[in-house]
Amino acid sequence: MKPERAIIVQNLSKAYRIGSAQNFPPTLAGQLIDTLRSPLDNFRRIRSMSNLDKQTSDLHWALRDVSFEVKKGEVLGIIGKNGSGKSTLLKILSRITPPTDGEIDLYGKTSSLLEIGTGFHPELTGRENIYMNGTLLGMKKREVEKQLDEIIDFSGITQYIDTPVKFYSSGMKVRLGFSIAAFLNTDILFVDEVLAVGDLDFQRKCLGQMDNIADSGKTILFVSHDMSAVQHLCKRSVLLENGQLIANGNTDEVISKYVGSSFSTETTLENHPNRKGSGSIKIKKIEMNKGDNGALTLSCGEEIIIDIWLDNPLKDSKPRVDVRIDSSSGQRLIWLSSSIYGESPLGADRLQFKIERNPLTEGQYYISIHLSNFGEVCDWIPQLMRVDISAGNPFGNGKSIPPDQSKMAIPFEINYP
Amino acid sequence: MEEENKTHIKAQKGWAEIPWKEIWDYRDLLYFLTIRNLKARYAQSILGTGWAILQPLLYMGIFTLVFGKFAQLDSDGHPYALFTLAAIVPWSFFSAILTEGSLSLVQQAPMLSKVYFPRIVLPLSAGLAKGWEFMIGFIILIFSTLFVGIFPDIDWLFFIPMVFLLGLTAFGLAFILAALAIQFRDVKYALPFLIQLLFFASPIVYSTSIVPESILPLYAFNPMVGVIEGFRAAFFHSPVPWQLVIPGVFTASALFVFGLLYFHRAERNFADLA
Repeated sequence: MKPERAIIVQNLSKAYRIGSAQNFPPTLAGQLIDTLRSPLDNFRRIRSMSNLDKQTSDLHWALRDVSFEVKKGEVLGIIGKNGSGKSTLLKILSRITPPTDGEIDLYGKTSSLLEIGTGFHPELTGRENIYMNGTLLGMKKREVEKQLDEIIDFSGITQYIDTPVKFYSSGMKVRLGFSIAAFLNTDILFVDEVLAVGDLDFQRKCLGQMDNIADSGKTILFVSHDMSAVQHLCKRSVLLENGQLIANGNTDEVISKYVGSSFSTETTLENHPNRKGSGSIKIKKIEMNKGDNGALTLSCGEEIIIDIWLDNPLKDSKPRVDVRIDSSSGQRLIWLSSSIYGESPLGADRLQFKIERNPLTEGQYYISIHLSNFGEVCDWIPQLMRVDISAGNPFGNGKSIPPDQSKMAIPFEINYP
Repeated sequence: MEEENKTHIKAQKGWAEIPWKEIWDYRDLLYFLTIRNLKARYAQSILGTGWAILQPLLYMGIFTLVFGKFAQLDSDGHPYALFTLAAIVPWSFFSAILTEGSLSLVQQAPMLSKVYFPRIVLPLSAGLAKGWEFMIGFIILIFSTLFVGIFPDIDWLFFIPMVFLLGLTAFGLAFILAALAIQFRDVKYALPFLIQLLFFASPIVYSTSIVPESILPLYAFNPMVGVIEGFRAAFFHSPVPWQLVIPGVFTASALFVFGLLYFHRAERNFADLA
């Protein structure tokens, strides 16, 4: 039996016109003439913002010829860097903005969770805002009424529900906003980065609710930078880069394609897409734990040695190397810097960081490296490699830290005095 | 069921059909937005609704002093205060719908780029929320006529089509200006002048009897002329001046239909321009 399709996107494109900077004439006379002339110029300029007919060079294609399909009940992840067109895609799907070209067919009632708490009015109570926000998201009054208790209950702010929202903390607003959206009675849901808000406890609750929504047979398009959330929710994902769809398939494969071309321990740094800096000194090679070939997997609690070779032609340089380890959601967790122990020897071209016990718990992490010389950025490669860390045995007794509790495991003692 | 919820999205150009069913589906949103506008308006105000009572009375006092006493303008044989109040009440409603409706989209710009809904509910709810103040003004008008010994009779019901005519004009204009204001912020600066102009182009402080006979047919194409004279006819039991009402009906209908179509044509790009 072939599952029905819920979303069909065909050759979708969206162009924006880049506003051209205004020129200010340097002379007073010039400015006077300009003031008289400017209403007409302004009119032409503002009018042209919505005129996308002319094929001129100041068009920016936020999306270009994107096609994909989503089956009924499927949860599809959409990943890509900032500015790759993810949000534009969701905005077109949720009919906020029209496409420049291409077509979409949606089968079922749709709703979007693009930014929670939109339309909240500070003077209205939580309860009034539930009605307001619910109807704004396309629900009927009686539909909101039916879900009201569940929404209030899920938000966990029952005792403040009749207080004006202006007295709420930002966390409470987020809770209320998500709760309304999470109980939307729709077939297709577009979700953009909403799990990145609220405290950890509530984030986990949201993720759980997303699971429930997915299990209830709804079709979900999920945009996120949090790779672990995408991995958790979506079997299939698509990858956008510069407005084009460059991968479509199994989430794990798409994510690894996203994070970089190669993740062997001996990363070839040539042609790394994110590389910046002057290049006067370059990072030649980086190796972790003597680089066994294949996927780089380390475990929590074990020793990590990071070897770095520099291509340093400058005899009088004192290169400074910073290594940063980020979580898969982009949180900065660890910073190792040669500057902590003063300056490096003149013309150094080899250094080694040693972490006695790796504090990172199970999960995926990304290494960034930054090389500078007397304040000049020579080589900077954000997220140049991925490291998978396994649960390991950090306490020597077989116990490990659950990864959803903490990204860090630190040695500690317990006494019963 | 399946077909009913099918949505087709593609690039659109030019004029398009008004999606009546969809607007109807969002009627609950219209209701809550109207309530929200009402509640928000009087929050943190000492007088609250008292302003709605005070405003028409203050205008009445000022106009009576300046135009009635100092300028000695004719008031068709009625007490000047009452004569001008019968115009202030519908005029305030008209100018409020026009102002609030025209600026509603710009004020709610963040909402436009975050959620989809038929944008027309924004100017509609902003204007409808002003209905509350109109109702209060209307009650004041009834009491004032009772005070001078005029009692409502069947003629009085003529105010109903007049409110309808007022609504068509005000919303028609507000739709056009709201759609323009999203792209050209100049609307915000030009709006007070437009309202001032319409104020003097309507018989609020003066009687239509001072308007030269030659321009009267043209003058009556301002629908507010008919609305105000219709209101006076309803409250003072005078015959309805049809020659002043009919031309306005044409203008009002044309404005409303064009306003709706223009708004709908422009609405698809609001999120990109806001």
